[in-house]
Amino acid sequence: MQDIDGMIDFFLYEKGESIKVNETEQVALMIDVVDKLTYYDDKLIRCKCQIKTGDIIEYNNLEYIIISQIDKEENSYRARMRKSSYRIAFNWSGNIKWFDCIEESKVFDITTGTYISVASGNIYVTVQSNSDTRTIAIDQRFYVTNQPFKVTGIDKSQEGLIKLNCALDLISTQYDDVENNIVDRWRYETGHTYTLTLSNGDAVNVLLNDIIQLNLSATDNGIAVTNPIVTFTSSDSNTISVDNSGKVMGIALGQAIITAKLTYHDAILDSITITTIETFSHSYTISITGSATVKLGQSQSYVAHIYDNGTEVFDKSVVWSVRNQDGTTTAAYATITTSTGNSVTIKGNSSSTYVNKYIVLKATLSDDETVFKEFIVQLKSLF
Amino acid sequence: MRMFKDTLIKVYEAPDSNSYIKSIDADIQPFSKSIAFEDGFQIDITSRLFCDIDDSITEENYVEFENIKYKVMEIKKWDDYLEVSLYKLKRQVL
Repeated sequence: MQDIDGMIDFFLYEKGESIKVNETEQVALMIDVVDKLTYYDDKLIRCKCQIKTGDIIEYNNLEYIIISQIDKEENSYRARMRKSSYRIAFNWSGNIKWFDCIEESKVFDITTGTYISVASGNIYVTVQSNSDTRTIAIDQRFYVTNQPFKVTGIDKSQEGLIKLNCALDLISTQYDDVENNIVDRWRYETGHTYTLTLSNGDAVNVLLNDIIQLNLSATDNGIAVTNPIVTFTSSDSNTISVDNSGKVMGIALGQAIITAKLTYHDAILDSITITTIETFSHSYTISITGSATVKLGQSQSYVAHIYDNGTEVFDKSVVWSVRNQDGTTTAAYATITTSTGNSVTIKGNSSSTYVNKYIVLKATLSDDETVFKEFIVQLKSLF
Repeated sequence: MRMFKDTLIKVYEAPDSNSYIKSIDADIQPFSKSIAFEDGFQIDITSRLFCDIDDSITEENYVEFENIKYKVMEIKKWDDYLEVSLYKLKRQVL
């Protein structure tokens, strides 16, 4: 069997693969370790660049950690590496840092040559030794697959690697971001709940070669966001085009869905169906704004906005009505107290049996009863 | 040994064409053999080259004929000629 080291340039040229060593592009020979099939994905790496125990190797879009000592030959370096199981986050007073790690729930006993299962709830985690991981302390917490663990022991005896002995811990529902596996996140950060709403209705028409403006509103934790950064897209830009300010143009007869997304939070979106038409016909829609709850014995005001093909109009009026959502008619849970223009005020009737009941507030276009909007309001107790 | 020397081969220091050294006449014969390297690598020899003794043919060099590059893998030096085992490169750089 011949040695590779003397022909390393040829082997790297002919059989080398692109990798990254600590985020630097390199070429290396990658060899599957096939002595026996195990849970772990181990590989041998041989390259001309210097590698060290604990180095992070990116190969085929996967992260590996060099776990062996380095076999330094005349022209090349050779080592064993293991695929990182997870990325774990440690939180230093709001400074969150992520690390590739190898998680093991059993350990290899070198004296007996066998694997020993550790006690249920305990795991071993191996991370690269660097300036950040060297500051990991006993009792520091982290998450693996939505389970919190606490560091109970730290082994720094192997150069380049830090081995953490960890025990299952309790979830802090108040502070932990369990979904994203970050401990104590909400102790230092404020959670954000965004909404984005297109207020032109669900569907509007636009004349061929004409433009309409989409109106949108965005909130962050219920507070209106001024000038939200939004990305608009059209499902068929040959039929309907849209620009970054929400101006929609009918290019050809047909229909398309315009989607608005918060640019930096693209899961927050709203969409509207736009139809290009040759001749204009009125298409009225109504939206109702106001609180979704009203307290017993107290009043809430609501406003109806009327849109014609997505553009708000002010020459139309609505007729208001209210009914119990459960269909009962003997006793109304709420009544209309005043109605002025397109505004209405309703009052929750005082009876403790009405708590958490729902009423339906309905605004019907005064000259076309087929056009209406219903709004669900829940009755709440005073305290 | 009687050789045909009916093939003009180009000798290179590296797989790229910028490292051209010289051209020599040689006899190329098909051949089949595998060389095992450590870590499970195997190199298949598909051709043998016979030529006069020439210092430019070394185990570090590459040769080209019929627009295909080969790596010199082994050299047997006989009294008056060389017997060279060749590996056809999978990565061909023209």
